This record gives sequence, structure tokens and C-alpha cells, in this order.
Amino acid sequence: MDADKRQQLDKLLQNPRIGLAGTTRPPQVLPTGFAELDKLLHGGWPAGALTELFVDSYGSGELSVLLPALQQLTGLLVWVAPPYLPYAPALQAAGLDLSRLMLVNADDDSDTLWSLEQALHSPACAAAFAWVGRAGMRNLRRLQLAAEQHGSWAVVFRPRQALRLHSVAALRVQLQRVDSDTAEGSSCLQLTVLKNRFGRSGSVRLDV
Amino acid sequence: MQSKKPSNTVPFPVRGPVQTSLFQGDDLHADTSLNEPHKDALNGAELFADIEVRHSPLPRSAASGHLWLCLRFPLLPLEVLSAEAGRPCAVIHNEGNNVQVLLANDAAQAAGVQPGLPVNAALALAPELQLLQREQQLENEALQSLAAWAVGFTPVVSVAADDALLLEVRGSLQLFGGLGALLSQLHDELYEHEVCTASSPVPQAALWLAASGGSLHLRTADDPQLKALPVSVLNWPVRLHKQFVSMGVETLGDCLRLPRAGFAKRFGQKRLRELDRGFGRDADVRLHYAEPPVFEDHVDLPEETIDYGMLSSVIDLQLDRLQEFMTGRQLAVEHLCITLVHSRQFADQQEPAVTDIEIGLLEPQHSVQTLRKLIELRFERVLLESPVQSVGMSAGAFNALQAGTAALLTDDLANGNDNRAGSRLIERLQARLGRERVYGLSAACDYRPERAWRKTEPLTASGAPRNNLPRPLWLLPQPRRIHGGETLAASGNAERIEAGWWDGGDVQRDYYVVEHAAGRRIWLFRDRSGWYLHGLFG
Repeated sequence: MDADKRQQLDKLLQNPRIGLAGTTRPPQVLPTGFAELDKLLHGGWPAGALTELFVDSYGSGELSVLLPALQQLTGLLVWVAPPYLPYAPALQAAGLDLSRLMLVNADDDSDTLWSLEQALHSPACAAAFAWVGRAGMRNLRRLQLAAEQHGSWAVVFRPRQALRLHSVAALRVQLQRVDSDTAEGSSCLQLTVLKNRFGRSGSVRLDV
Repeated sequence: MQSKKPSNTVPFPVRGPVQTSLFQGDDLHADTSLNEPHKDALNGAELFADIEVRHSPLPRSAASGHLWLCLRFPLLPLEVLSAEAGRPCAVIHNEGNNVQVLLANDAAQAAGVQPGLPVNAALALAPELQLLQREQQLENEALQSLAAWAVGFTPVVSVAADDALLLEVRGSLQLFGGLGALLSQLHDELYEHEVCTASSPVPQAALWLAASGGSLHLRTADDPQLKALPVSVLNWPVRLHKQFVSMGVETLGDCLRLPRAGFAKRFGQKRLRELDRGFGRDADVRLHYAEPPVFEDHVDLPEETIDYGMLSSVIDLQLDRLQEFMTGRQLAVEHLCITLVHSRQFADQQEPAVTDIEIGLLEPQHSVQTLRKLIELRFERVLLESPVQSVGMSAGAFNALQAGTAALLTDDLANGNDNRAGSRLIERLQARLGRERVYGLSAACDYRPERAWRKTEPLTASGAPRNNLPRPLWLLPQPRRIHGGETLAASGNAERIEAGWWDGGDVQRDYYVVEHAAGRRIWLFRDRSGWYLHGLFG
């Protein structure tokens, strides 16, 4: 390749809207608990980065996908603006330590984003989840920086309509419920990785 | 030549004045020559004139002229717990492995319940007996507030035991007109509590006199009445008391006749010194009660303002003063209250409007930096409706400063730091969003799903035993009525929950786990009134 073509390529890659997949490694990976998902994500969920999960409607399986990974963490878990009441007996049965869990009810998105940022900045916090409707690009970048700085696992749950908007999150995954091809009449969860800074994109089906 | 040594040694303790007395033969009965009663003495009570100091070693406290008054509250454990009057009730506590009655009120004593009785025996004697667990924290607080009240009679107050106060009243006798008048005023003001009073120049002796129940007021350190007190006033453990009984020692005077070395070996040096103190032989220094420090600061603004910038500079100044206050006394603050007094809006407004802002910290803080940040966060939410004319700051709850020690192993340091960081995060979130919005969860024991969980303080949780029934991860705050439940739940097994008839929250529901059309698993139940959605899986 010629030198100036390479220069053009470099200049193109410097554009922040373009990201090269699979060039960097996350500082830490958390095994997801699902073998196929681990293979797709090259190890697991990236700690020290921001993950965006898009769902059709809140409460349709996003938490059960993340629960196996939470069991390995030691440190605070902060959940901001959960859509419904997290049910303590079910969380306990899933193996979560309730004495490490902190819930924050926030009225609007700005409070939610502020609380999430505070949680990520705290060295005691190992993982922070938030259910956010609208988030500007600046806010998401601040969350990404905060997660990188302290090595905590940040996950933001967003409605499907937010897919179209650009985001700097390191990992963007969409969750959908589809009919299962193995069992008649039941459904399974389809995870589509749309953007993955630490690996490649693809999709996988999980029985959850 | 055989020299026959007379056997003079006395192997057993003998009554009567012998060489082997506790105080080695010193003549302690000092001749306290009292002058004639002072002309100013009212009510016939004599003030104690100066005692002639003799060559023999006199008790120092008597020589210095103190007079210690002991107020003992024998029924304090019962008084701090709100008991129904008229019903027999008893306060119970754990004595070793048993649960015994500590105190019983009059109605219970009439039925035969005495202190020291096991709980089962007490219940057999009085079946309708109300049992209350002893709360030592409440007793301590009550005693502290009584000490704060007693400061009105004399500046030297000491909290002596679980249930007694010592007041040094020599200096107050002239003001109150003698001991009798002082005692009658004390009794008037203490109408809520049962109190025994006694006085003596030596504080420990005053405690013993009050423990004996009588209202004895002695003038000298070793009055014969003191020696006639039974050994139960010493309040020593039951094991030592039994030793006394087996030795035939019944009064304090008998104790004095025991040989010192043997006494120290059997009962310990500490107890021997206690006896010495009580009889004035040793100095008895008591810790004085000090009122807890309170910080209050008030600044009138030069002109009324509604601007936060002006207010923040004034608040910064007050925080600097608070920092000086805390540094000088080595304290850490836990709770702060800022009072903003608004100017009068209307001419006929009597009281100016006041806004109170309370800042609470999870851990006592010595440095005011955290407070500054929290105040900033709180002020973002506060809406000032009218101009503020003065700002007041008050802090009442202080703790002694804990000097942090650096850990030898870094693990401990990390854990401590994490806990502090967690508390700091909770403080920040609560300062901006409000206290009730940051919480933790814990599971509770109840069959009804909506009551099987509880909101708690964040990061404190206790577990409840788990069951293996399927439960949804999300619960709706209120069950939502739906239509078409029968078709959805046509298949599937039902879980019947019938509970709550004992407290009025009766539920009778059949729960189903159902796959919804959109693929979500939901938790439905059927009630008498219809079909409801209660939770979502995942």
C-alpha cells in the first residue's frame, strides 16, 4: 500500500465516529455464565467500560442475563432507577448478596445519570446499573470515562428507540425475545452484539 | 535449754480489737471537734465546721471538708420502660445462662415475685405478669439526663454506677439553707423517680449508705453506723458474697477485722482498695460529669439576600468556626442544622418564616470539607421563597475524635477505605436525592409475596431462609388488574397462597407463571375478585 493511502486510512481512523473492533482488550472480563456469549465477547462482560443494553421493554430479561456475572464481584452493586421493585427473595435465590446491593430511586434522567456517575466514581462500587431513557452523548462519554478510571462495570439499559443514536459505549447489545427453535411454544432471548470495541459483533441465543 | 516460744499467733479471725486489724492499730477515730452551730444555719441543720487536723493520718477528704450526697435510683430499670400502671410487671435480664427477674413493681411483689426469681417461677406465681427486657441503653440515657438536671444543684456531679449519682454539695449548702432544705427540694423535683439519698464526706461510703436503703447522713469518715452496714451494700459478685457468708462475715465492721494480706489474696487487691476508699483511707477521685458540647453560631446578614453566593460565604465562615470548635475539643460531628430566618414579608406577620436544613452524616467527620460539599448539594434543591436576613448553624451531636491508625497489612486498609467510600457515596446520594430514595433490600419471612421483602438502610441486610418456589425478579408495586387471565393460565400449575388471616391482611391467591405473547414470563394470580399481574421474570 502506498504511503499516502496509508495516511488517508490513518486520518479516517482518527475520526472518533469510527472505531476499530477487536484492537483493545478490556482491563478485566467477567464471565457471563453462558458459554456462547463468552465466546462472542472474548471472555465476558468488559469491566472498566460502559455497556449499553437495548430492550423492547424493561423487565423482559435484561437482569437475568447479567445476574450470573454479578455473583463473582465483591464490592458494592448500585442499581439506579429500576423500573419495578426488585424482589428480594428472588434475588437471594439467584445467589445475590443483598447486603452489597444499594438501590437508588431517581425521578428523571438527569438525576439517574448523576447518580450513576457518582457511583462509578466511588472506589467501593464494583458494578452500577441504570435504567435510562434519554442520555446525551456527553453524559455517556462521562460515564465511559468514569468506568475506565475506576475499573467498575457500568451497564445502562435503554429503550429500543435509542438504538439509532450514536454512542461511545464500548459494548452495545440488543436483547429481543424470539420464538425458540428447540422447544415448542417457549421463547428464548436473542442477544445481538452491535458494537464491540473488544471483539467482534454477532448474535447468540440464550435460554433464559 | 529449751526456749519455749509462746504460741501467740491466732489462726482464725477473732472478734474484738486485736493487733491484727485491717488498719494495723492506728487510731482512726479522729476527734472531730465541731464548733458551735453557725449562726446562719437555717432549719436546724448544722454546717460542718473545719475539722482539727491531728498528727495521725486522717482521711484527706474529711479534712478538706467535702460532703458527697448520693442519689440512688433503685427502680430505674422499671421507670425507663413504659409499663402499665396497676398491672404487675417485672424487668427481666440474663444472669449467666438463666433469665431472671431483676425488678418487680408493687403489684408484682404483692403476688410474690421477687428479684432473683427465674422467669418460669415468676410466671407461675403471677400468670398475668408483664415481662419487660432490661434496656441498659435507656437507663444510661436517663442517668445522663438526670446528671444534667443535677448540675443545677452543684457543679460537681459524678455518675457513679448503673443507678446512682454523686453530688458534692458542701459548697451549695449555704445557698440552699442546709442539707435538709436541699434534700427536700431534690425530692420535690424528682417526683418521677424513686430515690434513696445518703451523704458522707467520702463518696464511696455515701454509695454504700444509699445502697443500704436508709437515708443516713454521716459526718465523719468512719462512723460506727458505717461499720454496721451489711456486706450486701458492697454489691460484689454473688460468689464473693457466698464466701463472706461462709466465713461468718456479715457487716462491714467484720470485714475490717480480717487480716489485710489474707483479704487481698482471697478477694483481690482491687476490692481491698475499695474498702480503703470507703473508709477514707485512700483517695477517692471521681470523674466529673461534663455536659456535652454544643456548637451554636448565628450571623445576621448586613443586608437581606436571596442569592446563594452571599449565603454560601456566610456559611463558609460558620463552618470555619465549627472547625475551630471541633479542633479545640478534638471532636467529630455527625449532624448539622442550618437555620435560615427570612425577613418579614407582611407588616402583621408576627414570627418570621424559618427554613431548616438538616445535614446528617453516616460517620462522624472531623474535617468540614465533606460538610461543605454536602451543603452545596443540598442547596441546589432548596428554593428560597423570600429573602434571608440571618443564618444560624447549630450542631449538637458530637463524638470524640477517633485517631485513625495505619494498618500494618494493606488488606485491612483497603477494607476500611472501602467501607468509608461506601458511606461517602450513600451520603452524597442522599444529600441530593433525599434520604428515602437510597435504600437496601432484605428478605422477610412471610408467605404473602408483597410482604416478603423489606426496605432497609443501604448496605445493611439480614437474610431470611430461602424457599425453592419460583419467584419473579421484578415485583409490581401494586398488582395490576388484567383481562383474559383465564386463557393465559390455561396450562400450568398453580401455587396457592393463603395467609395473613392473623393480622388482617388476608390473601387467597392462586399464582401462575405464564409466558406472555411478547415472550415475557409473567407472574399472574387469581383472586376472588379477578386476575392480576404481580411480577415479571427477568
